[in-house]
Amino acid sequence: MRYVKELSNRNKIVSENTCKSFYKPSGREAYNLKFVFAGEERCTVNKRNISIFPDSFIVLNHGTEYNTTIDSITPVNTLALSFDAGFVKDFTNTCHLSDENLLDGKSQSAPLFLETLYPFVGDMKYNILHLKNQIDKGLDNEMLINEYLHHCLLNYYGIYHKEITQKVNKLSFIKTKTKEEIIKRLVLAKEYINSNYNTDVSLDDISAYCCLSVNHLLRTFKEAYGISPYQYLMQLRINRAKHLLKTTDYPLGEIVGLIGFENTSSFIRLFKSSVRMTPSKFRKGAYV
Amino acid sequence: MKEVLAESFYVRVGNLSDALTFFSDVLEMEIEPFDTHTYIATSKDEVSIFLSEKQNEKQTNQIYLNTSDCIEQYCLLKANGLVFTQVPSYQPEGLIAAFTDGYENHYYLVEPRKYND
Repeated sequence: MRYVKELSNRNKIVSENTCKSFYKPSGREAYNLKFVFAGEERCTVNKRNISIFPDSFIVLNHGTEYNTTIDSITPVNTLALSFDAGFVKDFTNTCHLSDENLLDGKSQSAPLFLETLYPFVGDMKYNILHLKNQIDKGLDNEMLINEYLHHCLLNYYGIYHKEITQKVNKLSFIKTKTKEEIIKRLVLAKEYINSNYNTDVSLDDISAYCCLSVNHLLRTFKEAYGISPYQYLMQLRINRAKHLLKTTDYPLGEIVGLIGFENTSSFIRLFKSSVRMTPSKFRKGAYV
Repeated sequence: MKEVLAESFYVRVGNLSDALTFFSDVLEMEIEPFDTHTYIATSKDEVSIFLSEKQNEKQTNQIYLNTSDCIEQYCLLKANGLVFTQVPSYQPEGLIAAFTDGYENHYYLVEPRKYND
């Protein structure tokens, strides 16, 4: 099942439910936001292999070369929003420039976002799920689609501020440029953990991926996010286990394997200490 | 904004005939007579609005209408010619848009959102 809608302002929506696909854009000047509602979509950007799961979405700047792959036994449900570069530039100017500057025809250059995974939460999640719901009903109303897309960009700016700008300010370095460079690398560390959470992730692997020494990584990660990379990994595994418990009927043993745990009893112990109930009780509660 | 659980509102309007047209054609609400001076407008989420030209002590000028998708409702009503005084905006309670009926009554279209789930 595939839904494609290209709007008169050159923004585009593609929604798909498929087990296998490979997509490489043909150099169109557009920003891309990609969401996954069920399953996993892999995205290769500048030699980085990034996995998109239902708890995150990826943002890609205009002009970035990338490709996406879906290879799954169960159907993977995805949504890709493509924003025309001019549209994003205009949106950014409207948000950041005063009325006087806008009337004087002043303009900022097209924004360049940090291309990585962002948490799919809050208003962004609400609005995208509404949009998805409308698409499933065959949405064709351009005004309504544009309103959702407008809000989606607005929500993305909010998430960007929280995930990037606020975290930059938490770092204790004096120079802003140093802070920004560290955040860029910490974002890579999180991206690596998110994409490889179900493998035997080591600090050395993360440190090599984000080009920070292990000590530097540990210190700055804690400063920015308030937890260690290991704690972040464990939280991520628990959250993804919760998602699988809620949305699938996979046996617990299978879920434990899928999220990268070797031992079911140690997973149950961790789950209980984090969620304050056993996985089976959590699953029963999810269906009440 | 306070959490409002009311399912009915009593609203005073300047001209009942114009108000009924506004509630049925623009807001797409069901209209039915209640008594000689009052009509009831019922929304999709079953909120009842008692419209009357006569004043009574139960009347309010702040009316809250719940919706499951504020953006969809905003576009639908905008297409019907409604001018909003506040476009959908993010508040701690959720997404809220606002409009008036021309008689200084303020309507809030509220999509409650739980951010902790």
